[in-house]
Amino acid sequence: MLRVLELGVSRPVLVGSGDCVMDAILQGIRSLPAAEDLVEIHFAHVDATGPARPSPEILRRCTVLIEEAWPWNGNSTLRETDRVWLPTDCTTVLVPALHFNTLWPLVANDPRNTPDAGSPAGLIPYAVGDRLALQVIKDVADPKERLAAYLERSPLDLIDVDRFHQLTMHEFFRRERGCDVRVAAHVLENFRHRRLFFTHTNPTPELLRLILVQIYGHPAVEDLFETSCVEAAELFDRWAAGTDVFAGAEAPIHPDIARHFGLEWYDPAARYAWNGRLYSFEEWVAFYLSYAPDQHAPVAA
Amino acid sequence: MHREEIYAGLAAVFREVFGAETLALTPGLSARDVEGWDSITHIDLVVAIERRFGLRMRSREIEQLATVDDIVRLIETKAGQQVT
Repeated sequence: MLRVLELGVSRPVLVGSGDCVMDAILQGIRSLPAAEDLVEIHFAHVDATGPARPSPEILRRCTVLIEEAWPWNGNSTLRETDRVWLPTDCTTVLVPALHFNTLWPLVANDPRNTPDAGSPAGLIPYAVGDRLALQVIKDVADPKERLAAYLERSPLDLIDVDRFHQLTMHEFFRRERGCDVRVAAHVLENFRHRRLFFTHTNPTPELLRLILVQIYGHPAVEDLFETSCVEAAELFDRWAAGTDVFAGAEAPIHPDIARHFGLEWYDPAARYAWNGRLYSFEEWVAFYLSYAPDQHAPVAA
Repeated sequence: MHREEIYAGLAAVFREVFGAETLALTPGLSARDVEGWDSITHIDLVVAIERRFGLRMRSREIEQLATVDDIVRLIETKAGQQVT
Protein backbone atom coordinates (compact mmCIF):
# COMPACT_ATOMS: atom_id res chain seq x y z
CA MET A 1 0.00 0.00 0.00
CA LEU A 2 2.72 2.45 1.04
CA ARG A 3 4.71 1.62 -2.06
CA VAL A 4 1.83 2.64 -4.26
CA LEU A 5 1.03 5.82 -2.39
CA GLU A 6 4.63 6.96 -1.99
CA LEU A 7 5.45 6.61 -5.64
CA GLY A 8 2.26 8.38 -6.59
CA VAL A 9 1.45 5.56 -8.96
CA SER A 10 -2.20 5.36 -9.88
CA ARG A 11 -3.98 2.32 -8.55
CA PRO A 12 -5.07 -0.48 -10.84
CA VAL A 13 -8.78 -0.47 -11.58
CA LEU A 14 -11.11 -3.38 -10.99
CA VAL A 15 -14.63 -3.16 -12.39
CA GLY A 16 -17.37 -5.61 -11.47
CA SER A 17 -20.22 -5.80 -13.95
CA GLY A 18 -23.52 -7.44 -13.15
CA ASP A 19 -26.45 -7.15 -10.80
CA CYS A 20 -26.83 -7.43 -7.05
CA VAL A 21 -24.75 -10.62 -7.00
CA MET A 22 -21.78 -8.72 -8.42
CA ASP A 23 -22.36 -5.99 -5.85
CA ALA A 24 -22.10 -8.67 -3.15
CA ILE A 25 -18.95 -10.10 -4.75
CA LEU A 26 -17.36 -6.66 -4.67
CA GLN A 27 -18.31 -6.31 -1.01
CA GLY A 28 -16.33 -9.48 -0.36
CA ILE A 29 -13.32 -8.19 -2.30
CA ARG A 30 -13.45 -4.87 -0.48
CA SER A 31 -13.15 -6.79 2.80
CA LEU A 32 -9.54 -7.71 1.96
CA PRO A 33 -6.84 -5.79 3.84
CA ALA A 34 -6.33 -2.31 2.37
CA ALA A 35 -8.27 -3.38 -0.67
CA GLU A 36 -9.30 0.09 -1.71
CA ASP A 37 -5.90 1.58 -0.95
CA LEU A 38 -4.43 -0.83 -3.44
CA VAL A 39 -7.14 -1.01 -6.07
CA GLU A 40 -9.87 1.27 -7.39
CA ILE A 41 -13.00 -0.85 -7.23
CA HIS A 42 -16.08 0.09 -9.23
CA PHE A 43 -19.46 -1.51 -9.70
CA ALA A 44 -21.13 -1.42 -13.11
CA HIS A 45 -24.76 -2.25 -12.46
CA VAL A 46 -26.28 -3.85 -15.51
CA ASP A 47 -29.51 -1.87 -15.17
CA ALA A 48 -28.13 1.40 -13.87
CA THR A 49 -28.09 4.61 -15.79
CA GLY A 50 -26.79 6.70 -12.91
CA PRO A 51 -24.00 6.48 -10.37
CA ALA A 52 -23.51 2.72 -10.59
CA ARG A 53 -22.21 3.07 -14.12
CA PRO A 54 -18.47 3.73 -14.45
CA SER A 55 -17.40 6.61 -16.63
CA PRO A 56 -15.39 6.09 -19.83
CA GLU A 57 -12.43 7.55 -17.94
CA ILE A 58 -12.61 4.71 -15.41
CA LEU A 59 -13.24 2.02 -18.02
CA ARG A 60 -10.27 3.20 -20.08
CA ARG A 61 -8.05 2.42 -17.07
CA CYS A 62 -9.68 -0.91 -16.22
CA THR A 63 -7.13 -3.57 -15.36
CA VAL A 64 -9.52 -6.37 -14.52
CA LEU A 65 -13.18 -6.72 -15.41
CA ILE A 66 -15.14 -9.24 -13.36
CA GLU A 67 -18.26 -9.84 -15.36
CA GLU A 68 -21.40 -11.83 -14.83
CA ALA A 69 -22.02 -13.78 -18.02
CA TRP A 70 -25.72 -13.67 -18.82
CA PRO A 71 -26.42 -16.05 -21.70
CA TRP A 72 -29.67 -14.22 -22.51
CA ASN A 73 -27.68 -11.00 -22.82
CA GLY A 74 -24.93 -12.09 -25.20
CA ASN A 75 -23.03 -13.74 -22.33
CA SER A 76 -22.26 -10.34 -20.89
CA THR A 77 -23.62 -7.66 -18.62
CA LEU A 78 -21.43 -4.70 -19.52
CA ARG A 79 -23.11 -2.57 -22.13
CA GLU A 80 -21.46 -2.65 -25.52
CA THR A 81 -21.32 1.14 -25.45
CA ASP A 82 -19.27 0.87 -22.26
CA ARG A 83 -17.18 -2.10 -23.35
CA VAL A 84 -15.60 -0.12 -26.17
CA TRP A 85 -13.70 1.95 -23.60
CA LEU A 86 -11.87 -1.04 -22.10
CA PRO A 87 -8.15 -1.21 -22.90
CA THR A 88 -7.06 -4.15 -25.02
CA ASP A 89 -4.95 -5.57 -22.20
CA CYS A 90 -7.80 -5.62 -19.70
CA THR A 91 -8.34 -9.10 -18.29
CA THR A 92 -11.91 -10.35 -18.05
CA VAL A 93 -12.89 -12.85 -15.37
CA LEU A 94 -16.25 -14.41 -16.21
CA VAL A 95 -18.67 -15.42 -13.48
CA PRO A 96 -21.74 -17.45 -14.46
CA ALA A 97 -25.21 -16.11 -13.85
CA LEU A 98 -26.58 -17.83 -10.78
CA HIS A 99 -29.97 -19.40 -11.31
CA PHE A 100 -31.00 -22.36 -9.24
CA ASN A 101 -34.72 -22.81 -9.67
CA THR A 102 -34.93 -26.37 -8.37
CA LEU A 103 -36.34 -25.29 -5.01
CA TRP A 104 -38.67 -22.73 -6.59
CA PRO A 105 -39.94 -24.48 -9.72
CA LEU A 106 -43.05 -22.33 -10.06
CA VAL A 107 -41.56 -18.83 -10.09
CA ALA A 108 -43.58 -16.63 -12.41
CA ASN A 109 -44.38 -13.08 -13.27
CA ASP A 110 -47.31 -11.99 -11.15
CA PRO A 111 -49.50 -9.70 -13.26
CA ARG A 112 -50.56 -7.82 -10.11
CA ASN A 113 -47.01 -6.81 -9.33
CA THR A 114 -46.26 -3.16 -9.87
CA PRO A 115 -43.35 -1.18 -8.52
CA ASP A 116 -44.19 1.49 -6.00
CA ALA A 117 -42.33 3.92 -3.82
CA GLY A 118 -42.19 1.53 -0.86
CA SER A 119 -41.03 -1.45 -2.89
CA PRO A 120 -39.26 -0.53 -6.15
CA ALA A 121 -39.48 -4.10 -7.46
CA GLY A 122 -43.10 -4.43 -6.34
CA LEU A 123 -44.47 -6.58 -3.53
CA ILE A 124 -44.21 -9.85 -5.48
CA PRO A 125 -41.33 -9.61 -7.96
CA TYR A 126 -40.45 -12.50 -10.24
CA ALA A 127 -38.17 -14.22 -7.72
CA VAL A 128 -41.10 -14.96 -5.42
CA GLY A 129 -43.85 -15.25 -8.01
CA ASP A 130 -45.81 -18.47 -7.62
CA ARG A 131 -47.68 -20.08 -10.48
CA LEU A 132 -49.60 -22.32 -8.07
CA ALA A 133 -50.91 -19.28 -6.20
CA LEU A 134 -51.83 -17.56 -9.45
CA GLN A 135 -53.74 -20.67 -10.49
CA VAL A 136 -55.63 -20.67 -7.18
CA ILE A 137 -56.50 -16.98 -7.55
CA LYS A 138 -57.86 -17.76 -10.99
CA ASP A 139 -59.82 -20.84 -9.92
CA VAL A 140 -61.22 -19.76 -6.55
CA ALA A 141 -63.47 -16.73 -6.65
CA ASP A 142 -63.87 -16.20 -2.91
CA PRO A 143 -60.66 -14.71 -1.49
CA LYS A 144 -61.44 -16.26 1.91
CA GLU A 145 -61.26 -19.75 0.44
CA ARG A 146 -58.01 -19.31 -1.43
CA LEU A 147 -55.56 -20.11 1.37
CA ALA A 148 -57.23 -23.46 2.08
CA ALA A 149 -57.36 -24.18 -1.64
CA TYR A 150 -53.67 -23.40 -1.99
CA LEU A 151 -52.71 -25.63 0.91
CA GLU A 152 -54.73 -28.50 -0.52
CA ARG A 153 -52.76 -28.42 -3.74
CA SER A 154 -49.15 -29.35 -4.33
CA PRO A 155 -46.55 -28.09 -6.77
CA LEU A 156 -45.70 -31.75 -7.31
CA ASP A 157 -49.02 -32.13 -9.11
CA LEU A 158 -48.29 -29.20 -11.36
CA ILE A 159 -44.79 -29.98 -12.50
CA ASP A 160 -42.36 -32.89 -12.78
CA VAL A 161 -39.90 -31.46 -10.27
CA ASP A 162 -37.26 -34.14 -10.88
CA ARG A 163 -37.19 -33.39 -14.58
CA PHE A 164 -37.18 -29.69 -13.79
CA HIS A 165 -34.19 -30.24 -11.50
CA GLN A 166 -32.35 -32.17 -14.23
CA LEU A 167 -32.86 -29.37 -16.73
CA THR A 168 -32.06 -26.67 -14.19
CA MET A 169 -28.72 -28.31 -13.50
CA HIS A 170 -28.07 -28.93 -17.19
CA GLU A 171 -28.63 -25.24 -17.82
CA PHE A 172 -26.44 -24.32 -14.83
CA PHE A 173 -23.56 -26.40 -16.20
CA ARG A 174 -24.13 -24.99 -19.68
CA ARG A 175 -23.95 -21.41 -18.40
CA GLU A 176 -20.62 -22.17 -16.79
CA ARG A 177 -18.96 -23.31 -20.00
CA GLY A 178 -16.29 -20.76 -20.76
CA CYS A 179 -16.54 -19.10 -17.34
CA ASP A 180 -13.63 -18.72 -14.92
CA VAL A 181 -15.84 -19.52 -11.95
CA ARG A 182 -17.75 -22.79 -11.64
CA VAL A 183 -20.14 -23.61 -8.87
CA ALA A 184 -22.78 -25.85 -10.45
CA ALA A 185 -21.13 -29.06 -9.26
CA HIS A 186 -20.94 -27.67 -5.72
CA VAL A 187 -24.60 -26.71 -5.84
CA LEU A 188 -25.61 -30.11 -7.17
CA GLU A 189 -23.65 -31.95 -4.50
CA ASN A 190 -24.63 -29.79 -1.56
CA PHE A 191 -28.04 -28.18 -1.98
CA ARG A 192 -29.71 -30.94 0.05
CA HIS A 193 -27.22 -30.62 2.89
CA ARG A 194 -26.82 -26.87 3.20
CA ARG A 195 -28.71 -23.77 2.22
CA LEU A 196 -26.99 -22.25 -0.79
CA PHE A 197 -29.67 -19.85 -2.07
CA PHE A 198 -32.10 -17.40 -0.45
CA THR A 199 -33.99 -17.04 -3.73
CA HIS A 200 -33.35 -18.74 -7.03
CA THR A 201 -30.89 -15.97 -7.93
CA ASN A 202 -29.57 -14.80 -4.56
CA PRO A 203 -26.83 -17.00 -3.10
CA THR A 204 -26.12 -17.47 0.56
CA PRO A 205 -22.70 -16.40 1.93
CA GLU A 206 -21.40 -19.98 1.55
CA LEU A 207 -21.80 -19.84 -2.20
CA LEU A 208 -20.56 -16.27 -2.40
CA ARG A 209 -17.42 -17.36 -0.57
CA LEU A 210 -16.84 -20.16 -3.07
CA ILE A 211 -17.19 -17.68 -5.93
CA LEU A 212 -14.83 -15.20 -4.27
CA VAL A 213 -12.17 -17.84 -3.70
CA GLN A 214 -12.30 -18.81 -7.37
CA ILE A 215 -12.21 -15.22 -8.58
CA TYR A 216 -9.22 -14.55 -6.37
CA GLY A 217 -7.56 -17.69 -7.70
CA HIS A 218 -7.30 -15.94 -11.06
CA PRO A 219 -3.74 -14.56 -11.23
CA ALA A 220 -4.89 -11.26 -12.70
CA VAL A 221 -7.01 -10.65 -9.61
CA GLU A 222 -4.56 -11.95 -7.03
CA ASP A 223 -1.80 -9.77 -8.51
CA LEU A 224 -3.83 -6.64 -7.77
CA PHE A 225 -3.63 -7.19 -4.03
CA GLU A 226 -1.03 -8.06 -1.42
CA THR A 227 -2.87 -11.03 0.03
CA SER A 228 -2.10 -14.59 -1.05
CA CYS A 229 -4.95 -16.73 -2.37
CA VAL A 230 -4.63 -18.91 0.74
CA GLU A 231 -4.95 -15.98 3.13
CA ALA A 232 -7.72 -14.53 1.01
CA ALA A 233 -9.71 -17.76 1.27
CA GLU A 234 -9.57 -17.49 5.07
CA LEU A 235 -10.55 -13.83 4.95
CA PHE A 236 -13.47 -14.56 2.65
CA ASP A 237 -14.50 -17.23 5.15
CA ARG A 238 -14.64 -14.60 7.88
CA TRP A 239 -16.45 -12.16 5.66
CA ALA A 240 -19.02 -14.78 4.73
CA ALA A 241 -19.58 -15.65 8.39
CA GLY A 242 -20.37 -12.04 9.22
CA THR A 243 -22.24 -10.70 6.22
CA ASP A 244 -26.01 -10.45 5.99
CA VAL A 245 -26.03 -9.79 2.26
CA PHE A 246 -29.27 -11.08 0.69
CA ALA A 247 -30.55 -12.31 4.05
CA GLY A 248 -33.38 -9.78 3.99
CA ALA A 249 -35.05 -11.23 0.91
CA GLU A 250 -35.90 -14.90 1.18
CA ALA A 251 -38.19 -16.82 -1.13
CA PRO A 252 -40.17 -19.34 0.94
CA ILE A 253 -39.76 -22.97 -0.04
CA HIS A 254 -42.87 -25.10 -0.37
CA PRO A 255 -42.82 -27.91 2.22
CA ASP A 256 -43.62 -30.49 -0.46
CA ILE A 257 -40.56 -29.40 -2.44
CA ALA A 258 -38.39 -29.56 0.69
CA ARG A 259 -39.66 -33.05 1.49
CA HIS A 260 -39.31 -34.24 -2.08
CA PHE A 261 -35.66 -33.25 -2.28
CA GLY A 262 -34.91 -34.21 1.33
CA LEU A 263 -33.51 -30.85 2.35
CA GLU A 264 -31.65 -31.60 5.58
CA TRP A 265 -31.47 -27.95 6.60
CA TYR A 266 -35.12 -27.17 6.01
CA ASP A 267 -37.13 -26.04 9.01
CA PRO A 268 -40.90 -26.21 8.44
CA ALA A 269 -41.37 -23.60 11.16
CA ALA A 270 -38.87 -21.18 9.65
CA ARG A 271 -39.84 -17.59 9.06
CA TYR A 272 -38.77 -15.90 5.86
CA ALA A 273 -37.72 -12.26 5.64
CA TRP A 274 -39.39 -10.21 2.98
CA ASN A 275 -39.77 -6.45 2.68
CA GLY A 276 -38.82 -5.97 6.30
CA ARG A 277 -41.19 -8.55 7.78
CA LEU A 278 -40.95 -12.21 8.74
CA TYR A 279 -43.44 -14.76 7.46
CA SER A 280 -44.03 -18.42 8.13
CA PHE A 281 -44.78 -20.37 4.97
CA GLU A 282 -48.53 -20.24 5.57
CA GLU A 283 -48.45 -16.54 6.45
CA TRP A 284 -46.47 -15.97 3.30
CA VAL A 285 -49.05 -17.73 1.18
CA ALA A 286 -51.82 -15.68 2.80
CA PHE A 287 -49.88 -12.51 2.05
CA TYR A 288 -49.24 -13.63 -1.49
CA LEU A 289 -52.85 -14.50 -2.22
CA SER A 290 -54.16 -11.24 -0.80
CA TYR A 291 -51.30 -9.17 -2.16
CA ALA A 292 -51.43 -7.22 1.08
CA PRO A 293 -48.52 -7.29 3.52
CA ASP A 294 -49.44 -8.62 6.96
CA GLN A 295 -49.08 -5.60 9.21
CA HIS A 296 -48.94 -7.93 12.22
CA ALA A 297 -46.06 -10.03 10.93
CA PRO A 298 -42.89 -9.62 13.00
CA VAL A 299 -40.45 -7.05 11.73
CA ALA A 300 -37.24 -8.55 10.34
CA ALA A 301 -34.05 -7.59 12.14
CA MET B 1 -50.67 -36.09 -34.22
CA HIS B 2 -51.78 -33.29 -36.52
CA ARG B 3 -49.83 -30.09 -36.64
CA GLU B 4 -52.97 -28.20 -35.56
CA GLU B 5 -53.14 -30.32 -32.43
CA ILE B 6 -49.53 -29.61 -31.69
CA TYR B 7 -50.09 -25.88 -32.07
CA ALA B 8 -53.16 -26.00 -29.85
CA GLY B 9 -51.26 -27.88 -27.17
CA LEU B 10 -48.31 -25.55 -27.45
CA ALA B 11 -50.55 -22.51 -27.17
CA ALA B 12 -51.87 -23.84 -23.87
CA VAL B 13 -48.31 -24.45 -22.67
CA PHE B 14 -47.20 -20.94 -23.61
CA ARG B 15 -50.22 -19.47 -21.82
CA GLU B 16 -49.36 -21.48 -18.71
CA VAL B 17 -45.66 -20.67 -18.69
CA PHE B 18 -45.71 -17.04 -19.80
CA GLY B 19 -49.20 -16.07 -18.67
CA ALA B 20 -49.71 -14.62 -22.13
CA GLU B 21 -53.40 -15.16 -22.79
CA THR B 22 -53.43 -13.54 -26.21
CA LEU B 23 -50.11 -14.76 -27.56
CA ALA B 24 -50.48 -16.00 -31.14
CA LEU B 25 -48.07 -18.80 -31.97
CA THR B 26 -46.40 -18.52 -35.35
CA PRO B 27 -43.63 -20.75 -36.71
CA GLY B 28 -41.03 -18.02 -36.44
CA LEU B 29 -41.93 -16.93 -32.92
CA SER B 30 -38.80 -16.94 -30.76
CA ALA B 31 -37.50 -15.75 -27.42
CA ARG B 32 -37.01 -12.30 -28.91
CA ASP B 33 -40.75 -11.97 -29.42
CA VAL B 34 -42.03 -13.23 -26.08
CA GLU B 35 -41.48 -11.24 -22.93
CA GLY B 36 -39.91 -13.42 -20.27
CA TRP B 37 -38.72 -16.21 -22.61
CA ASP B 38 -35.13 -16.60 -21.52
CA SER B 39 -32.86 -19.53 -20.80
CA ILE B 40 -34.53 -20.02 -17.43
CA THR B 41 -38.15 -19.96 -18.54
CA HIS B 42 -37.01 -22.14 -21.44
CA ILE B 43 -36.73 -24.89 -18.82
CA ASP B 44 -40.31 -24.26 -17.67
CA LEU B 45 -41.35 -24.45 -21.28
CA VAL B 46 -39.56 -27.73 -21.96
CA VAL B 47 -40.88 -29.42 -18.80
CA ALA B 48 -44.42 -28.30 -19.63
CA ILE B 49 -44.09 -29.46 -23.25
CA GLU B 50 -42.73 -32.84 -22.20
CA ARG B 51 -45.59 -33.28 -19.78
CA ARG B 52 -48.24 -32.13 -22.23
CA PHE B 53 -47.05 -34.28 -25.11
CA GLY B 54 -45.71 -37.18 -23.09
CA LEU B 55 -42.22 -37.09 -24.52
CA ARG B 56 -38.65 -36.58 -23.39
CA MET B 57 -36.19 -34.28 -25.13
CA ARG B 58 -32.43 -34.76 -25.11
CA SER B 59 -30.18 -32.00 -23.76
CA ARG B 60 -28.73 -31.15 -27.15
CA GLU B 61 -32.19 -30.99 -28.67
CA ILE B 62 -33.32 -28.58 -25.98
CA GLU B 63 -30.37 -26.27 -26.58
CA GLN B 64 -31.22 -26.09 -30.27
CA LEU B 65 -34.85 -25.08 -29.82
CA ALA B 66 -35.02 -21.47 -30.90
CA THR B 67 -38.42 -21.01 -32.50
CA VAL B 68 -41.92 -22.40 -32.25
CA ASP B 69 -41.27 -24.19 -35.53
CA ASP B 70 -38.24 -25.93 -33.99
CA ILE B 71 -40.43 -27.09 -31.13
CA VAL B 72 -43.21 -28.30 -33.42
CA ARG B 73 -40.78 -30.23 -35.60
CA LEU B 74 -39.18 -31.86 -32.59
CA ILE B 75 -42.56 -32.88 -31.22
CA GLU B 76 -43.45 -34.34 -34.61
CA THR B 77 -40.20 -36.25 -34.71
CA LYS B 78 -40.65 -37.51 -31.18
CA ALA B 79 -44.21 -38.49 -31.90
CA GLY B 80 -42.84 -40.43 -34.84
CA GLN B 81 -45.59 -39.32 -37.16
CA GLN B 82 -45.72 -37.50 -40.43
CA VAL B 83 -47.46 -34.16 -40.55
CA THR B 84 -50.83 -34.28 -42.22
